Amino acid sequence: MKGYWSKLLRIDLTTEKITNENIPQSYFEDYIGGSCLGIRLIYDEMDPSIDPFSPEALLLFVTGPVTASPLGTAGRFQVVFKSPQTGILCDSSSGGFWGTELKNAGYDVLLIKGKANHPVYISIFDDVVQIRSAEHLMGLTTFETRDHLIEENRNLKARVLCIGPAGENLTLYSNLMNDEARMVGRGGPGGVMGSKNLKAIVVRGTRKVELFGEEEFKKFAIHLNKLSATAPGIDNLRKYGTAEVMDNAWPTSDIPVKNWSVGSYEELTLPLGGKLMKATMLKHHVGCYHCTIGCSRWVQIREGKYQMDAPGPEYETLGAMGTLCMINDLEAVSYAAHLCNAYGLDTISYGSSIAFAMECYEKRLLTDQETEGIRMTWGNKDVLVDLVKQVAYKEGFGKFVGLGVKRMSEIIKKDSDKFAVHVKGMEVPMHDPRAYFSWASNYATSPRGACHLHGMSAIYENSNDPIPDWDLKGYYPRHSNETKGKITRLAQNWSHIIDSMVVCYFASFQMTPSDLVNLINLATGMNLSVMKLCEIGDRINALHRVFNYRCGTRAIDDNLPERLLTPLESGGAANQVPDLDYQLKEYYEIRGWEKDGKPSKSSLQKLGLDDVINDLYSR
Amino acid sequence: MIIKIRFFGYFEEYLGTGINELEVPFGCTLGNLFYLLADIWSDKFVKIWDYDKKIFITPFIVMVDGHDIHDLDYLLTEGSLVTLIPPIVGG
Repeated sequence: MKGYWSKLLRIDLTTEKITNENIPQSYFEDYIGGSCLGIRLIYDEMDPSIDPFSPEALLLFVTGPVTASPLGTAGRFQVVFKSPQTGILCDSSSGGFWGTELKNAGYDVLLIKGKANHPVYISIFDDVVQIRSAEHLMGLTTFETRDHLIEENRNLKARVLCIGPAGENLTLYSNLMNDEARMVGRGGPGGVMGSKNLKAIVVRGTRKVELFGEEEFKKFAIHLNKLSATAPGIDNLRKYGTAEVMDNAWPTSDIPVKNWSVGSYEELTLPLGGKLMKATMLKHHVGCYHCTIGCSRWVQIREGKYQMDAPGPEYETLGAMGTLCMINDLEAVSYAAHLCNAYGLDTISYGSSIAFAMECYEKRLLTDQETEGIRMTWGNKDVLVDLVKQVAYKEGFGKFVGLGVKRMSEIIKKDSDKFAVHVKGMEVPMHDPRAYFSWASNYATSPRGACHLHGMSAIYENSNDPIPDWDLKGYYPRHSNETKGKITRLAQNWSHIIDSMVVCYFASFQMTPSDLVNLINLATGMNLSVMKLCEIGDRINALHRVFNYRCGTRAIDDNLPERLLTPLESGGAANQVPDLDYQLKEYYEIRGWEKDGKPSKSSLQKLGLDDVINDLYSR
Repeated sequence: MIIKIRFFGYFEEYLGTGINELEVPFGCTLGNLFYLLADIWSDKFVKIWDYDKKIFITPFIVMVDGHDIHDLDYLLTEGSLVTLIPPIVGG
C-alpha cells in the first residue's frame, strides 16, 4: 500500500537481535498508523499485566501515512507504551523532525523490547541499524546528549531522541526529548526507555516513501497549508505562541489557579503571557518539519539568576508551573521549565505535583520535617527551580514529589484525595471542566488518563454546527451538559484519527473530516469515507479501552477529583459545575460500554473487534 | 449611553485595540452592538464577520459583566462591559 513502507524495525535489546518485519496491509486499513497502529501492535503482543519497567514491556515509535509528506507539520510521530505513571496504555506524541527521519529511513514502526545489559543507544542510518554503547552519555542532560551524539555520529542532519537523568532514574513522569526540546511528554515514557538501559535513538533517513496520488496530494496539502497559515487565530499563535492563552483565556476561567481552587484573573495570568514573553525574552520562533505556523518560542534571558538561551515554555507549562503554584514570574517559570526539559521531566505533572504539595503544606498535611526543611509556600519560585534536579535524581523531598499527585496523596491520606487533581494517576492538563463542561466527560474517559489532547472537546462548545460531517450540528454553550457526551466521543475520535495520520492539532483546526479522508486516500490509495473514518476512531478507542480494562480500569475510575466538581467562587466560571454523571450516561450509551465500563460484545463486533471479545469476557 | 468593549485574542489583533468605550443608543441589544461594530471596523472586521449572514465567522464567547450571554436580544445598560473572546487553545 502506498504511503507506507509496511516495515516494522524490531530491536530486542536483551538479545541484541535486529529484524525487519512486514506489517499486514489490513492493519493500515483498520488503524491507519500512528498511535492507533501502535496500540493494535501492543495489544497483539504485550500482556497487559506486564510491569511497564520490565524487559518484556514494549516501546513503540510509530509514524503515519502523511509523515514526511508536503503536508504542514507532517514530522510528528507517536510513542506507545504501558505507562508507569498510570498503569494503563499510553500514547504520547511529539513534533520536530525526528519522525520524518524515521519514516525516511524506511520504517513505519520502531519496536523496542528487552533490556540491554549496559547503557546503549540505537543508531539508524537507513538500513544500517546499530546498538552502541552509551556509557559515556549517562548522567548527561537531554541537550548535552543530543549535542554529543550529533558530533559522535558526524552527521548534522541526524536527529536525536533521548532521555535525561530523570528517565535514567525511572522517575514516573520522566519524558523523552527529540530535536530542540520537542517532548514526548506525558505518561512517563522516559522511565520506560531508561528501564531498558536505552539512552537515545539517533536517526537519519534519505529515502522517500511513494504516495498514491503524488501530485494531487501535494496540491491539496499546499491548499491546507495555506489555510493553516492564514486562518484567524493562527497569526496570534505564531506571534505569541501557546502562551497567548494566558493573555486571553483568563476571563473564561479555563486557566487553573492555586491548585484549581480559584478562578483565573488577569493580574496573575498576564505576567505569564505571550505578549510579555515576546516583549522581553523572545529570540525567535521555532517550527516543526514543514510547519506553516511556528508556535514554539526560543527565549533568551540575559541577566539575573535565571539566565538561559533555550526553548521557551508552552501554555501548559506556564499553567502548571505558574498559575497553579501562584507563581507569575515569567523568567523563573521559563528557567524551571528549561531545567525540566534538560533533566527530562513532564512539566504538567511536575508543576501539578508542586502545587499539590504546596496545598498540603498550607493545610499542615506536610511538615517541615517531611519536606526536609523546604518551605512549600504558594508562590515560592525557588522551590520550583530547586526541586527539578531533586525530582530527576530521586533525592530528598524531590523523591516524594516525583511520585506524582496520586501516589503522594495515597501516602499523605487525611482527605488529601479531595484536592489531588488527577484522573487515573495522570495529572490534569491546564483546562478547567468548570469553564468548559465537555472537559468533564473527556478527562474522565480519556484513554490515557486526564488529557486535553485525546479530544479537544472544548473547541466544539460555543460553536455553530461544530462537525457537520459527523452529524454534530447545533450550538452547545460551554456551561451546559446537553450533548457533551456525544461531543466528547467525536472529539476523541477526531484525535484518534489525527494521532494515527500523524498530524499536528493546530494544523488540523482548519481541516474537516472530509479533508482528512481526502489526505489519507490520496496518500494511500484507500477509499475511506468520512463515516468510516469515525468508525476507525471508535475502533481504536474501544481497543484502547479493552487493554485498559484488562489492566484493571473500571467505570469507577472514569471520574473527576472532588476539587474539579466544586464550584469556583470567582471568575468567569463562578458557581458552575459540570454534571459528570449525566455526561457519562450519554457517553457510555453512545460508546456501547456496559455499566462496569467495559465495551459490550455487540459494540466490539460492530467495530470488527471480534478477536478481542474472548480476552474481555473470559475473565 | 456609554458601554465598554474588551476584545481578546485575534479580535484584539485584527482591530488593533483592546478596551474601547463606545456610545450606543439606549435600548441597544447585543445584536445591535455587533452590527455597529461591523460598521465601525468594516475593513478590519471582514476576517471575523460575515457581512452577508451578519454573523461572526468563528465561534467565540460573549460575556457581559462577567457572565456568558447567548441571547442577541440581551439588553445592554449604561456602563456594561462586553467581552469578546475567540477560541483559544494551548498545548
